Amino acid sequence: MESELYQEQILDRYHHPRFRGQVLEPTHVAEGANLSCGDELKITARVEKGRFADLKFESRACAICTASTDLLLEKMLNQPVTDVEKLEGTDMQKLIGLPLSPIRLKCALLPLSALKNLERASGPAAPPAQD
Amino acid sequence: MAPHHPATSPALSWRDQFPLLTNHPELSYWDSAATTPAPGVVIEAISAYAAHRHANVRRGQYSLAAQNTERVEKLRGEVRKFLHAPADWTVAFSSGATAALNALAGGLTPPSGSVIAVTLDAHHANLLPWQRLAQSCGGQLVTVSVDQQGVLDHAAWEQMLEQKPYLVALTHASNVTGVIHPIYNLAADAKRAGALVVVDGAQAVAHLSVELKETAIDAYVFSAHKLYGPTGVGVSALSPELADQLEPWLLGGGMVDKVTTTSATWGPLPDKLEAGTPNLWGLAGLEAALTWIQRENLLGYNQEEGIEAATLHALQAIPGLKIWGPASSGDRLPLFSFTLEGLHAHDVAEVMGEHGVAVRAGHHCAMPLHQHLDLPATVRASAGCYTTPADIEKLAVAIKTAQEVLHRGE
Repeated sequence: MESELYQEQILDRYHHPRFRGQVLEPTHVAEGANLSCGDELKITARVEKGRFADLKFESRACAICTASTDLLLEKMLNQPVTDVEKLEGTDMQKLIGLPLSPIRLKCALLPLSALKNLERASGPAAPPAQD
Repeated sequence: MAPHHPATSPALSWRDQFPLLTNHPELSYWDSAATTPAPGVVIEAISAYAAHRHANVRRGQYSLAAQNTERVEKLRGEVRKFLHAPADWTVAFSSGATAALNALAGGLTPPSGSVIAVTLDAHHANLLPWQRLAQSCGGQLVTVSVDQQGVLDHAAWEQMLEQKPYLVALTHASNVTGVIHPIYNLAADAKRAGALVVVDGAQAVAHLSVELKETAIDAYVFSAHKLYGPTGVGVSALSPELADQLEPWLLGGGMVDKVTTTSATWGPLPDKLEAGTPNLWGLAGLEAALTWIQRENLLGYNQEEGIEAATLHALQAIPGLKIWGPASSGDRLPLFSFTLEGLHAHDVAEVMGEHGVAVRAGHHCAMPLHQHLDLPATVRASAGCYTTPADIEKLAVAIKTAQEVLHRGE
C-alpha cells in the first residue's frame, strides 16, 4: 500500500528524527503549538557567536510536523540565527519536498513559526542581557 | 419488530438517493457529523424554490411574497411536529445551531453571580456563549465532567445542581464520544433545581426522534446541514417560558414594532428573533429534508440491527485501535472517535483520505474534552443513512492501511 504524502523521507524523519532530544544548558528556547490539530513542540538551542551551535526538539506531533521540524533543524545547524527570518512557507514546502494541502502546510510551518519566536532561555547558560 | 435498516438489507440503500455520493462512487463518506450530503429531492426543492417561489417574506403584498410568507410559517409547524414540540412553542430560524446558541446566550440576562452549567463534552458552540455569559454577569461556569466512555459523572451532576444554576446547557448526543445523554431526565433534574434548560441537538436529530412534549427542556437547537438539508439554516425550538424572556441578539430589519432614531420596540415572536432576511433558499431545503425524512421513515429503524453495531464490531476487531466512547451499541450514535496506538490522528486521516475514506481528525471543536482525556486529537468516523456494509469494510481496510503505511520504517 502506498501513500502520496507519506514517502520514505517523511516516515524516516518521523520514526528516526536526528534532532530529537534536549540541548543541555540551552541559551535559547522556542515553543510552538497548533492546538487545532494537536501538534506541540519545543526547540532548545545553543547559540554561539550568532550561530546555532546545537539544536534539538521534543514534540507530540504528526508525522509532517515532526519531519518538518527535524529537517529544519538540520538545515539551521551551524547557520546564523538571523537566517531564520529569511525563511518562508515555500522553503518549508521545499524541505518536505511534496505538495501539502493548506491544513497540512500548517503542520509543516509550525517549527518555522516557533523558531522565528526564539527566546532566551532562563538558566546558567542563558546569555547576559546586553548580548 | 422494527423494520431492518435499509442499509443492511441488500435490496435497499439510501445511498442511491444522494447525488454527491453517486457522483463520487470512489468515496466512502464517514464525516456525517461534520455535515451531511443532501438527497436529490432536497437539492431539487431548493432549485425549484429559486426558480418558482422566491420572494422576501413578511412584508410583500404581491402573491409570490404572500405565498412564501405563508409557507415559511407553515414550516415552523412542520418543525414543531418533527420535534414533537407543543403547539405553543416558538420556532425561530437562524444561520445554524451555533448562531442559535449564541442568540440564546446573547438574549438572556442572568442575575449577577449566576451559575451556568455545561458538560465537558460540549461542542464549543454550546460552551463559549455560556462561558461569555457567565463572565459578563460576574458568575461562574460549572463544567460537569464525563468519563472515558463519555457518560456524565453523576456525582458531579448532583453537585452542580446543588449550586442552583440559572441555566444548564446540555448536549443531546456528543460529537466526539457518540454518547446519547438522557436529556429528558437531566432536564427534569435541572428544572427542579430552578434552571433554564438548553439542549444542543445538532448531532442527535438525524438519528433520534426528539420528544419535546411534556419535557422540562426550554430550548432545543439544531442545524439543517447535519440533517440532510442545506447549510446556513439553524432551528431553535423555544418553550414559552424561555421565548418570553429572550431579548433579540441580532438587530435589524423585520423584527421591530416601532423605530425612531433613538429607540426601538420589538415585534412579536418569532419575528423579533429573526432580524434580516432569512436564508429562504435554505428554508426550502429544510422543508424538503423534513418531508423526505418523514416519508422515508428515517428515524424508525432499530439501530441495534443497523450500521452502528456493525461498525463498532469492525472497529473493535482492529488491533491497536481504541474507541473513545461507549464500548457497546445502544445508547450511542453511529459515530466513533478513535486513536491508533503510536500514530497521530492527522496522519491516519490523511492516509485514509488518500484511500477514499473521508473521516475527520482533530479535537472536533471539543477541546476541553480532549484535554481531559489527554488526547491531542482523535480520528472520527460518523455514519449517515447512506452508510452501507461496504462502507464499513472500506473504513476498516483504510484504517489498517494507515497503520501499515505509517508504521513503515519504524
